[in-house]
Amino acid sequence: MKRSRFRLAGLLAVLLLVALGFAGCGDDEETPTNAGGDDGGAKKAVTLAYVGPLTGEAANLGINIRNGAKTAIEEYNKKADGKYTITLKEFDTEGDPAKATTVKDQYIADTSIIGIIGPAFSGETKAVIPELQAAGLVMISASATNKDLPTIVAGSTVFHRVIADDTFQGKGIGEYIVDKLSAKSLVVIDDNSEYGKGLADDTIKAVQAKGGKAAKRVSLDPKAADFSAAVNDAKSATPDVIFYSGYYQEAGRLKKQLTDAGVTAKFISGDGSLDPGFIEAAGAAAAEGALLSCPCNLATETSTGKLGDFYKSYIAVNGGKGPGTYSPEAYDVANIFIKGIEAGNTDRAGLLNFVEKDLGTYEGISKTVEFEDNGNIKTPQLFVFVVKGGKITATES
Amino acid sequence: MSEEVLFPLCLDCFTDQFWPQTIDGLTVGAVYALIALGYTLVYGVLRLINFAHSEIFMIGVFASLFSMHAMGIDRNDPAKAGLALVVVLVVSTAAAMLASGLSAVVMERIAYRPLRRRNAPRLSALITAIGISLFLQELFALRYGRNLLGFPRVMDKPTLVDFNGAIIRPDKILIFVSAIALMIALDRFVAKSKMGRGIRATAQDAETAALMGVNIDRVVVLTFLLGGLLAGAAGALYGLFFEFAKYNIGFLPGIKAFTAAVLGGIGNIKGALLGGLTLGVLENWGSAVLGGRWKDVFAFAVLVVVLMFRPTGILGEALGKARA
Amino acid sequence: MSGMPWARSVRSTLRRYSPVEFVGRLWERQNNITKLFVCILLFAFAAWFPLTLELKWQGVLFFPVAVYILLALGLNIVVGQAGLLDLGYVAFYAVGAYTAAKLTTTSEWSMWQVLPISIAMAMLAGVLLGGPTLRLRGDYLAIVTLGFGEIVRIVAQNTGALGESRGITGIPHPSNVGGLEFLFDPVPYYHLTLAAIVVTILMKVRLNRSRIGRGWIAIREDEDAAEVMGVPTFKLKLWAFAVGAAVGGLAGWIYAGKTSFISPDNFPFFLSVLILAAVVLGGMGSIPGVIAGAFLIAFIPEWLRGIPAGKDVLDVLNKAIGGHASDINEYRQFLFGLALVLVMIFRPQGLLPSRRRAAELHEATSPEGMGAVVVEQTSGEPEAELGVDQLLGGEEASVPIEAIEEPAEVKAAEFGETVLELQNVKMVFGGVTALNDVSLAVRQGQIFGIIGPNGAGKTTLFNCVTGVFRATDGDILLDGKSIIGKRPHLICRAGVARTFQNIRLFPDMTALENVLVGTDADHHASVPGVLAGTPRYYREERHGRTEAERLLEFVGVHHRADDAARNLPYGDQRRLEIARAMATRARVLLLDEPAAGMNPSEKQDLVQLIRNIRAVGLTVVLIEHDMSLVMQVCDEIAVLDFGEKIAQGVPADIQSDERVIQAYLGVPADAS
Repeated sequence: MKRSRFRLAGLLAVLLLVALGFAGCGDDEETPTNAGGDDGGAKKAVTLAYVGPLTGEAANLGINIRNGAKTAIEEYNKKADGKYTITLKEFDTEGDPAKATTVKDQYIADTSIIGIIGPAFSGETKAVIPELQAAGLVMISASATNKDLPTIVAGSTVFHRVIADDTFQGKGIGEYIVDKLSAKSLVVIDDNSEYGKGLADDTIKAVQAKGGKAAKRVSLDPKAADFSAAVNDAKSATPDVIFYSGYYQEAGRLKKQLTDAGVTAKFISGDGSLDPGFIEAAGAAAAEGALLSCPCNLATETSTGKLGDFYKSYIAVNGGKGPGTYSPEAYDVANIFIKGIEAGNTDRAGLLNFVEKDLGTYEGISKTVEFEDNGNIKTPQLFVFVVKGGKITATES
Repeated sequence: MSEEVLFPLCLDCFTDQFWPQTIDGLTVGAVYALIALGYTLVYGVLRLINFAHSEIFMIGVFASLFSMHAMGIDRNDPAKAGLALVVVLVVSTAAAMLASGLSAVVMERIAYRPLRRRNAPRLSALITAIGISLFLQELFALRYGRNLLGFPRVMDKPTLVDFNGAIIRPDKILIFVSAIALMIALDRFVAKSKMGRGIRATAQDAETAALMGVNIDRVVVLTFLLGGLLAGAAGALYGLFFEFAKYNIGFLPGIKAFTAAVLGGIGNIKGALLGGLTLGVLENWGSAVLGGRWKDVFAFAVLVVVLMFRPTGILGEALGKARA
Repeated sequence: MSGMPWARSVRSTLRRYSPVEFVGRLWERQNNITKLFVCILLFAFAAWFPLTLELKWQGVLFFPVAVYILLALGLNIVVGQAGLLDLGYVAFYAVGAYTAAKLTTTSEWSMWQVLPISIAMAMLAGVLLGGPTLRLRGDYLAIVTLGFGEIVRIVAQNTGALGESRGITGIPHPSNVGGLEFLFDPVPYYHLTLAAIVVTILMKVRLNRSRIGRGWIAIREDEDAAEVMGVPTFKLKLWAFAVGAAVGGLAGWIYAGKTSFISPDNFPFFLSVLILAAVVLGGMGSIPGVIAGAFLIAFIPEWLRGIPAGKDVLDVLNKAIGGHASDINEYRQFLFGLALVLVMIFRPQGLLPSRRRAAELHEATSPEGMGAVVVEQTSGEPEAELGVDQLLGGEEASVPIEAIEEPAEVKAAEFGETVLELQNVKMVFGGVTALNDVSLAVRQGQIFGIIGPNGAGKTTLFNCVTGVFRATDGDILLDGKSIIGKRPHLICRAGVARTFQNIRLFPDMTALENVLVGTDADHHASVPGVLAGTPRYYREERHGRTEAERLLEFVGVHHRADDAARNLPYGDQRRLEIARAMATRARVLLLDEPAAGMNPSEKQDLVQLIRNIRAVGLTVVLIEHDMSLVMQVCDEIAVLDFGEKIAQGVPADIQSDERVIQAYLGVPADAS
């Protein structure tokens, strides 16, 4: 048939392109963090990797973590007595599990990488644990909170995280709702995502364990602009406390629409909402008084002590930007790795072994870190923040 | 409470929330209707689904926001009232309409006209439209970020009436009334004016219209302009109601507005209004009964069902020939 | 804005001297052995290639490159070949993946066992989607498929049994087969995908060479004409969906097997757009084009991630639009959108188009094109870019028709049984009665004429007979059996074929191919049959070819068998239409103004041709305005006026019938 006219030509052209393309590929983009560290001395080079979103809708969360880690690494590299120069390679997953699977081949294959800071999201973590385990590549996540993660691969040794999982967070929130807020009528709204529903489930369980109950459970579609259906649904139960389980942009919009509909219930949300974007979305007026919880701690300009020092250092390293959610945790993660590297572990097996066995108790700036066998931490903490005067400020923990 | 059946049917919810869901459905539906008018006009004249119309709408939302910034209104300023409020509303809406109308005309010029010249098949036009849509979305995302931009609250939204749970507020009334007013204006224009006659003639038989001295190019430009103006108005109202702008704010409303246009009868102006209001209400009812997360499926399902069983819509096609 | 004529001349120059053209011509000159050899070489190269890459690029080669190529090939069947715009293709990919995932994680089935089920489920989804929606045209179909795609994703997201937004984890890898291990190494998966790609290509090539592929092209170029020529349009469109969906499902199975974890987020609407972009940008309908397009779309973003130059490009882009991106990849969708628009404006046929598609996409000849509102060109046949030679009736004279001996019965004007009968046929459109109580009977072997002033309802009558319109009242009988209400392609197969007043050939198919489509009316090889290469398939192909060549000779167009139909001189086009109609093995031929636009010598040839047609045993019903021709060739004539039959009889009677004279001249009967 006539149409085969172009077949050979096309295939040849395609293959030529393929060959050229692959031949022309260079190294991965590196972020050399040894800016000033010009080593005349015998500093050895070691590489860690950040895995998580840097672009896309959830970019903020990832960038906070990357920058926190970067702060720790740069501080270390500047030290004159440090034995090593640490490079941070970045792998952007856009927060998308599909992307994460493509990207993982890259960092697993790169044998210079001996530890992963991240992955940031539970979805992407879930997708890569099996292969991390197979490759013996240790990971510590600053933010992946899904409760199933430790058991994805039975007896996993590579999985670690420095924050509580959602069961704990949900329990904390549930107890807070019953004890501190004395809720009589509770409405739980989730964003129909894996994270949102899981956290909502755990919170409700905790509330029920304390003898309370959720008057209503509503699921909304976060992509919609109009939450009126959910708002009306919630309102019909005349709640005095509303718990939203989801991310900051939708949480903010929801809060605004609730306020506009005349709902005066106290609003509390989880770590996904802990971001200035929440206030931006809700408007300062509607956001006032909202409670945001997190198994993470925040460093702000009013922080003191170790957190305060971290705050100043972060600003210096990251060009004036302030730390965000999970930055302190990321700082701790990086420093845990650094400790292991300083102790002489410069390959995957060594670093893994260090984190698993030799770390012991680590005093981080966000909390004290000690790992259980399955990678969770032994002493999780829940922090609750409140929005006051357009800013997020700390309350009790 | 954490186990959910696939379709938890909550009929009580329906009756409990009937009034609030209906009122809110009508409000949002009015916005859909305004956007739908643009789709229906362009389709009636050119037989083209302007996929990028949702981005014309998005441009309107942003324009409205920026005009407020230009007027010196800050994010957290208190609401205005009286004459100041009227001024702000008028200016922001005008800015939105202008921006959207202009964008639509430019889009026609640059992207669609070359295709028309060649009598390109509709597949090409549709693909071009998808490309434009993507391009515009990303342009705004890259310039203004992927987080939402909040609107200042320019208008107080006190509850005027609480009717069985339905909150009647000034902004909802404004939206509803504006949509109807604009639709009537458009309908009058198309039915009575000379240019409107040109539009109707072109929609029915372009060749003959051209032979009768109608300047087809001008009719097409006018069609896009009108659609754009209405989308801009919709954008301003949307911004007023939801108080945020985002790069992908047009996607879902666009599809729903298109569904509304088809539901009411593509090419039919009154049909667009009817379709929009109907869809808004149906959507909300559906999500009350089935649960909020099924809302979009509901809208898509309505689209599929209407196209399969009554492609000419409730009121049937009016502007042009019947075409399945 | 003018049509940018400068762009046109640049394009045609490029086309003439492009290396792609050169290689293409070189390829065509080779014989089949050489072609086979080269293909095997290419395949071997593709299989060996990943072993030269580092692991990271091996991974990229598998996903997204190879998988996207497979998806694009599948979508190409639907969009590129059958011309059906599907914006929800990702749904089939999802169905295949979820089927594999669900079955292997909740039962004892292994991945390999689940493979046919994945494909079958995807095909089922294709049929379920296509069944109700394929009645819709163009844009509507696109939106509905978009809706379906989203519905599938949202249902997956909301359904507990499918893991909701958590997705399904722990999907087992395919078990080892013949020494190939399927664990984490991407290379075996790549080879698996490569095998799938090769199978798909072979499948498409085979289908192209059959009535299925021809039918798809016919549907794409002129669906209504195809239907009337015996192409079962609905069934074929459904098959296009089903086959395309099968490929998508296969891709989904492969993907699930490698990544062992899927969730609704893996199947967004944007992926449908991406694959569509691959097909369109690469060149719809052309296999190498689609492969090239998919490769570019999959590879370039990955490539951009790492290169140092990316930084500079990023800065340029950021400055250009005032963007704040930190990574060149953020520009990916932006550039895609732009590329789509630019390609559609300047090179709508894509990078490596099939020549046929290039012509189609550049200018639509049917009134379905966008420029129903075209100002600068006149409507009607647009000029072909590659050679204009039919405007003045052709440079070469048509081949004269030689007479065929008429059988005795015909000479004696003894005609057989009534073969076509209309009984009180009434056709009402809205407020207009186009046909009112029309009855007539045509006997076997007659040349029956239908005349009448314009608007009398003659073509409407043909449309009723062929099933394009359903008569409001009355009955139409073929060989005594009612054919009212039947689909047009079935009526064609029952024995009625027609030509059109305004010539509706398939413009970018060759003359031979046009007639082949006609012969397919009588062929029944099914899609599985074609793919398997049953004896029936080969037999029908041979038969079709022989028959088509014979008919081309019969009408005197044989010397132009390989020319595109749109390039034929006008007279030859008319003859070709007749050949195509005869190819359907029709016994009754409806000719709608076949002499329009012909000069006297051509008309004489036409008369002889009609006589020849009758001489080989067909019955002819003829609508014509040329009175002398009608009187010359017809045995019996019916006259229509305002939808009613006002006279019927032999030519001599009709000529002197007063009502007829009045109808034509508007003169009252008693004036003279």
